[in-house]
Amino acid sequence: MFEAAATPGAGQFLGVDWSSIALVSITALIATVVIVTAYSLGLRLLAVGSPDDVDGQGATAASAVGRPPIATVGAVLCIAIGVAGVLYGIYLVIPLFHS
Amino acid sequence: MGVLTVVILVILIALVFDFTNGFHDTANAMATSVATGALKPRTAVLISAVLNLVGAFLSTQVAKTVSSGILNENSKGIPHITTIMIFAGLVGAVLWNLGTWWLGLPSSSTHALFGGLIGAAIIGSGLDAVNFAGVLSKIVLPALLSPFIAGVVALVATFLAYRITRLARAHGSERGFRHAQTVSASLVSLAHGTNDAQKTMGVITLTLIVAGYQAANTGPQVWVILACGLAIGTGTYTGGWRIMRTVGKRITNVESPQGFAAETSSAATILISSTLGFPLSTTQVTSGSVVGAGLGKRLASVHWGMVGRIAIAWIITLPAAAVVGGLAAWAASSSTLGLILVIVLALAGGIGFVLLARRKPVNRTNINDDDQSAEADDSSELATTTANGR
Repeated sequence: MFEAAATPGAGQFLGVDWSSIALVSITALIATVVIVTAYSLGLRLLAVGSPDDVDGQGATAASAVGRPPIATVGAVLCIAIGVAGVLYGIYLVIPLFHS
Repeated sequence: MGVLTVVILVILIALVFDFTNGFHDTANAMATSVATGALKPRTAVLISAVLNLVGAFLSTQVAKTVSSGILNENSKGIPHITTIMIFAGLVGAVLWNLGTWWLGLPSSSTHALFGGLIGAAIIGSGLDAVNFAGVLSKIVLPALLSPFIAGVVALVATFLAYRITRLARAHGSERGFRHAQTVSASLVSLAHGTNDAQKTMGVITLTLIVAGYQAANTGPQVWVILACGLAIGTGTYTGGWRIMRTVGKRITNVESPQGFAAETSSAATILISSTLGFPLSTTQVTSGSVVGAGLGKRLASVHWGMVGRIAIAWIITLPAAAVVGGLAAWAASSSTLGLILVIVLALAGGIGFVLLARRKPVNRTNINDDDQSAEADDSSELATTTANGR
């Protein structure tokens, strides 16, 4: 009698809440992709204009110093997305904030 | 033997279990950070230990429901289990944790704990004591699915991280990835502390309830929270270097973009799954992420032999701990002599594994080194990567 109440996915295939699993997988994928892409883009933008930047003008014009301000702004924005993700993660870990 | 004596015994071995849980699971959060050099080994375990301790105090929600849905309960909400059976279950869990640590395999401490308790409950109270549908849906299937979920997420993330930064890698992106990796690994540690320390709190609280020292459906007492937090924290600080080497070096040789992608995937998967009420095991998620990160860079760079060994360890963790827990329950509940025999055998087994591990020690000084005992293909590949260095 307690089994039914204690089993979350009662009545479903193998007793598992498959929709929860799908939701968890998709949300985790999207969150990770957004954060990793943003942070990597941030690092990429920070490298714009550096002598190692063979993709941009850096390699052709070795004398070019620093990166354009727009790249710096973009990098800061991208890294801010990563920081926001971390802060939201801490928020999720600490139940005091949301219970 | 008096009730109080048994309760004290249970609390002692529960804290020992918590300690083994800590050093077993240090690898989950910190193995990749140590492998990529993002953190020095001692710094890594210190951060992880502190965050585990902090995590233990953040929440006690899991502690209240540690066995619900796994062990059947009576009308008062108390499972059909005695203090002796809890003791026996913990013996099974501790011995399995030490055995897999000696082998350097990252197996789930949660599975060992539940396996031990299930085995002890079956022997002590019969098959009715265990909710097998709950075991399947809450333990077995999530464990099978989580490495795949985390693996796919980490694979995509690793691919993207390399793709986006491929032309700029020389300019600071290695260092950038290492910083970010440290942050996401710390988040994994914190989440681990909020989950795993609570499982031991739950077991001690369950014992106090079963023995009549505490009312049913109440949360853990302050001294229990403190003791469990300290036990898992010191365990973490001691560092399960054997397992860390496996996760950081032997599954695949983790580089900093992979470490960042893997830890971010683990943190996201663990946090999102517990938020949505479908908690996945930390061990399975992080190991899956490391495999995914290996695949995301280059398909051939994952050592499948090691992955196979880890998978086998996962499959047998629950039944193996159940068998030990069941045998211990059978002996310990027969007579006082049987209980003493279980204590002596458990101590002998535990010390035995520690001594075996001493013969070929792995510690913070040689964690990233090549090792003669590694499989032939592993050691040659490790040798080349170590020689190339950074």
